[in-house]
Amino acid sequence: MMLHHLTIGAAARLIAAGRLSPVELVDAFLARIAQLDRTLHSYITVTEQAARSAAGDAEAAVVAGRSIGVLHGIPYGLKDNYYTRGIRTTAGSRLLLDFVPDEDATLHHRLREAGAILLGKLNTWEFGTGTGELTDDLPFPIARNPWDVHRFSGGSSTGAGTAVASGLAMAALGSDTGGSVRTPAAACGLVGLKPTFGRLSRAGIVPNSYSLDHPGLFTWTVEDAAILLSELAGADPRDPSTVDRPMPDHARIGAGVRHLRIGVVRRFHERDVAADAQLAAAIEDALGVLRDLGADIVELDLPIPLKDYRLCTRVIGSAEAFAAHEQDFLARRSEMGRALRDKLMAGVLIRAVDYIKAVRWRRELAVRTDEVVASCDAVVCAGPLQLTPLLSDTAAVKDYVMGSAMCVFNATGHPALVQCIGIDSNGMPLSMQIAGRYFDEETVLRVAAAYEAATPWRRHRPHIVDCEGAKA
Amino acid sequence: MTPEEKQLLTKYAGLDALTAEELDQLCTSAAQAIENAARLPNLSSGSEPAHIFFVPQAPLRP
Repeated sequence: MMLHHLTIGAAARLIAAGRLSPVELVDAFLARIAQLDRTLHSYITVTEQAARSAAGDAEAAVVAGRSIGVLHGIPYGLKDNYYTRGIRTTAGSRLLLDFVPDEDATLHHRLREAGAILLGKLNTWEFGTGTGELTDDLPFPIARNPWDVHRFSGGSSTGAGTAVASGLAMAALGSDTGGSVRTPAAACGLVGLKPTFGRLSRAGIVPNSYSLDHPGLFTWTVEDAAILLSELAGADPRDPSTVDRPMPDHARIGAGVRHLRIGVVRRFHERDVAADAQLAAAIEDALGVLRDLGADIVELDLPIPLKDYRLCTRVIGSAEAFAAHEQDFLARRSEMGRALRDKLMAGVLIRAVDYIKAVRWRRELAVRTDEVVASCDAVVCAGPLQLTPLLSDTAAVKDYVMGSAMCVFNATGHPALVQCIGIDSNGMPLSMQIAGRYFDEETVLRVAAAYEAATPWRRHRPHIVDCEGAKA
Repeated sequence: MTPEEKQLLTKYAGLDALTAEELDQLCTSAAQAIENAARLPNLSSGSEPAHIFFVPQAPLRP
């Protein structure tokens, strides 16, 4: 049994049955990190000692017969813009190289309380933001895609996608302002879930855009995403944007899609952008699978072009990012990487009237989009619109990030998930996006779970070649 | 842009001691902001609740 390829669901069942030791599990992940992360650069900080100590405590709890939850002993990673008490939190920036928070991000706290074990802090573009412009002026090397280390791993949660796809963490948490969870999840062949705005607390996550930031999660399977979400969701007094809504029930995601009404929005990949043909074909195949499973597939006419969502989120995102980081920009911008400096500079001169116009427009976009989304149980559309590019093709990398359809659901706040729907001619994962009604992550997960169970893609793992040429 | 205009723009932006590269970037950002602003729709006023901010089906506080 390769422990680093266990899912959360499988590991939890083994731990609960006393057939898998949390110490053994954490040791396996730490050994794999030591073997591969010199090549993949997914971690900024590995919390080896604390992880071993926590694993020992977890094992003792099992041996003592204490009641344990589904995340007991499960090893995970956090994007390095999540506050971790006593552990350096750099957000990938020279400005925070020595920053050690004295509090935990709420989501990290919830995972620890549930018995999960932090393996370390994961690589990110500076302050968890960016435009897809890759520069060599950041303090840490760029994370590599385990499916092909010469290809882009997605961003901005670069290390989270890489770590989960390569078996260096069983799950990871990131943040998604314009696709920063879903893009790396798609590039690395994972399930990436951005829940509804307000479902997950943002307290203790370095802000990027106050109204577009969403926490999100990375897992190998849909079941694992459902398990994590049900442990993380819920109102938090530290984040006034969070709300108490009924929790998604991960036990119900296996109900299948028979008689579900699933809408398809084609305009993003057929009319608004000339998407890659392999990607478009894979989406058609995926719709065929859902149809064969009994879903009622209906064509949706979304009357809003992708460029409108992009413009709206660009104005709001730039203004809010500058507001969040103005003091650092004024005092220490020479220490920032060029990509962040340029992005913040774009927010300096946005007039208040234009920001307010964009906010009002966003509300209209959200209402009009919701009329379409709410007409179905779930909606399928493209996520990325191009194949995963080579890192050396800087224009293609930028287009992959900025040219995707991810920002739509940051603008509207609907839950959105990406999942693997095939392998392209370069051997890289292809993906689609599934969105749902506000706070109905359960149906989104249900559709994704049905597709996952009916297709072979979870049996494909990346073949990683480490820096000494050994395969893993 | 003339040097005087650039100086005024810098002052308006609340910045100082910009390098030449940063000043160029600021001018580019200004041009982009003007272009983006021109593309924003002019929604009619007074037709919406006073609460204009976006919160999906939820109160501001739990």
